[in-house]
Amino acid sequence: MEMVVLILKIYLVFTVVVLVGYSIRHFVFTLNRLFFEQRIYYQDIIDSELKSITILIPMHNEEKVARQILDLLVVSAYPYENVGTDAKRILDLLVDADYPHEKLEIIPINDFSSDETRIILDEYAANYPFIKPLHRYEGQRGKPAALNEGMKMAKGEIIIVFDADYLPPRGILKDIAVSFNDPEVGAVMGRVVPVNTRTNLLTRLLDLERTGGYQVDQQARYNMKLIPQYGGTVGGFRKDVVTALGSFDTNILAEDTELTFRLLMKGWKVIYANRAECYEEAPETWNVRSRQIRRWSRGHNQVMFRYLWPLIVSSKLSKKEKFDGLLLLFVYAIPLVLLLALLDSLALFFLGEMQIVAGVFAILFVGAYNTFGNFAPFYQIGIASLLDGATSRVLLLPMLIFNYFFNTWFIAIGFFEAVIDKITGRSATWIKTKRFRKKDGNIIPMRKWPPSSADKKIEVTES
Amino acid sequence: MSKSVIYYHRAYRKITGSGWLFLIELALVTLPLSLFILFIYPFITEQMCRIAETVLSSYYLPGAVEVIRQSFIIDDVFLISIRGTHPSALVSFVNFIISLALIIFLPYAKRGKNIAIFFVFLAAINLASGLFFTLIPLEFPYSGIDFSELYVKTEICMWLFIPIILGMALLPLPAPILPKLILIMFALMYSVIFGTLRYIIFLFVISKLSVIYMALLFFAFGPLIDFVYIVGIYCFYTSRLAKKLKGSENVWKWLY
Repeated sequence: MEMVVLILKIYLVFTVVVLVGYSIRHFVFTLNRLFFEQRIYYQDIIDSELKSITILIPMHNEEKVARQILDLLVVSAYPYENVGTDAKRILDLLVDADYPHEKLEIIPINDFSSDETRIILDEYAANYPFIKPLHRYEGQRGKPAALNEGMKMAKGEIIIVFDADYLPPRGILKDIAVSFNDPEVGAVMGRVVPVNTRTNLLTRLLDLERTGGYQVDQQARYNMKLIPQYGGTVGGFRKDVVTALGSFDTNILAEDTELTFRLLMKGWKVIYANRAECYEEAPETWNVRSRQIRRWSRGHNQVMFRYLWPLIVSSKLSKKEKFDGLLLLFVYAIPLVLLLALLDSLALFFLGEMQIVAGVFAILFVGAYNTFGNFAPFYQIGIASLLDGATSRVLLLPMLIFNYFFNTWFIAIGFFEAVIDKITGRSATWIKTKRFRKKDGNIIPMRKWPPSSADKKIEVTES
Repeated sequence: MSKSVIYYHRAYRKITGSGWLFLIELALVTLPLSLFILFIYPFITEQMCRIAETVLSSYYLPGAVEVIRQSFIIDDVFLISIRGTHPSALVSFVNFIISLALIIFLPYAKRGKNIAIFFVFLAAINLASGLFFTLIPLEFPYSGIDFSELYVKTEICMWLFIPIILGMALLPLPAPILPKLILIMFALMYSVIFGTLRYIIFLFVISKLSVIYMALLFFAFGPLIDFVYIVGIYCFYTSRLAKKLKGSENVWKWLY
């Protein structure tokens, strides 16, 4: 029994050390983002020779949102007088054409849709020559498989991916594409901003998480030359590179994280564009969110099992990149570590070892999980909100305690699913995130334009 | 359209400040406060126990509630000595069954799933307790005084950590140091007052109801809840500061 108690105590101490490590890491990110030199993105490059791009939009039963993303992308390519009525409505806000349409190709990928997605895409293809839908009703379903087929059809040098619920603003295509003028850049990630923040508590809390994750975490990792992560949407990559690397693995649910590590292992740079903001629809119900985060966890942990050792022995990465990469790989394993630590401390409690639970370790443990459990500690989210100019949403920070338990539960399930995938070699089935937008609903983002509250101070006069 | 005033885009905003200056400030604020706590915790715990004794005495026979002292860290700590009530077999079993039912059914809640999962967490702790007291009630290793000791020592650790945690979170914010210092001291005072009230309630529960709830009280309503108000105080101040900084041209810098 003494040995059991010793092991339990060692595990608790181990968990505390790990969590303190993560807390310090995020605190360093927070200070870096707030005080230190910010590494600028490539948006100031003015180049008349923009690269040809193909936009891939995987769609499975996306009739609620398909028109809106296509309208917004159309206005990126065509001058006002050449677009349809829906697009004109957006143009009232977005003003002008943005990317040369002869260098732009949009491939919405209808991935086994049974609703009106196919009809909508064909309608757009009839109106706009650069929209070339790909209808898939054979082969493997899911985003990685859809992207692979889309890439075979794509003519652009650069692939830019958007999920169907995204609302790309004017300028984002150029912002993302221009970075590929740097020959070392393999992939680029932009910033994701929820558009339906005001819907309910969940969307508000997700907005807080996103804010901390992008405004501070991703930018700080970019500043510090660590590992910014390609997130699979609002981002792009070089088609020839990814094709040469074997395209996407259709058995991995987190194809974005997998691509990040695959590119890094081959010496390519993955960069972050905080300026390239794009609106997304955050899940509006906890059930949908649970499925989404479970899928992310399963996919991320699949990547962790695959790249843990290659990352350690990689000759292409610096020591600090490897260290950050390891912490990044384990990020979806930590909630399970915490869950086990909770069981561990309960066991110690009933075994009469209250003192270790009572001591400093208990406080560190509780403090760490209250912060890290939500991926971004409270101080990181607070600073991110401050930088964003947000005044009210930060008041919801204490509510993230409920997200902690929720995340821990479903991430742990996702972890076990990834373990079973690894052991049995089974294929994962892609589960699409449900959309909440009303069909043919408001195509204009609910947030004020421009989105920054500090920018509300801009005085605009008609010329 | 023309813009007469253009502020920095939020993407690369930053503030003036120095990491080193922050570390110096952190040391100057947190060390004296933590040292102060270290020297006055015997006094605080004594006052806490006197209040608890006064409140609880009216519910118990004379002599059932008394204040004792033990050594802790560098000095003595004061505790309430009180007897815990062990649950009957039926109470233990009912607790076990109810907790099990909650764990099985709550994950299927259609609404408020986040709250439901939180209650699953609470039920899981109570399930362990219920199972323990159903199977091996005589093996329960703690008395009321053990729990009292656990609580008070945890509170002292919490008071020592509040200046550090809140100092780390508040000091980088672009505002004068005095309001931050006041806020940290407010958080400490709140913690002492809230901690005293909670101490009385916890002792009442384990002595009048049952020690079966000891684990639940400590793991779910102990330090975890302390972090909720610490974060609450931080976000209240950050929100106020964000409002104040809106449109302030002097605070924000760009890139360098």
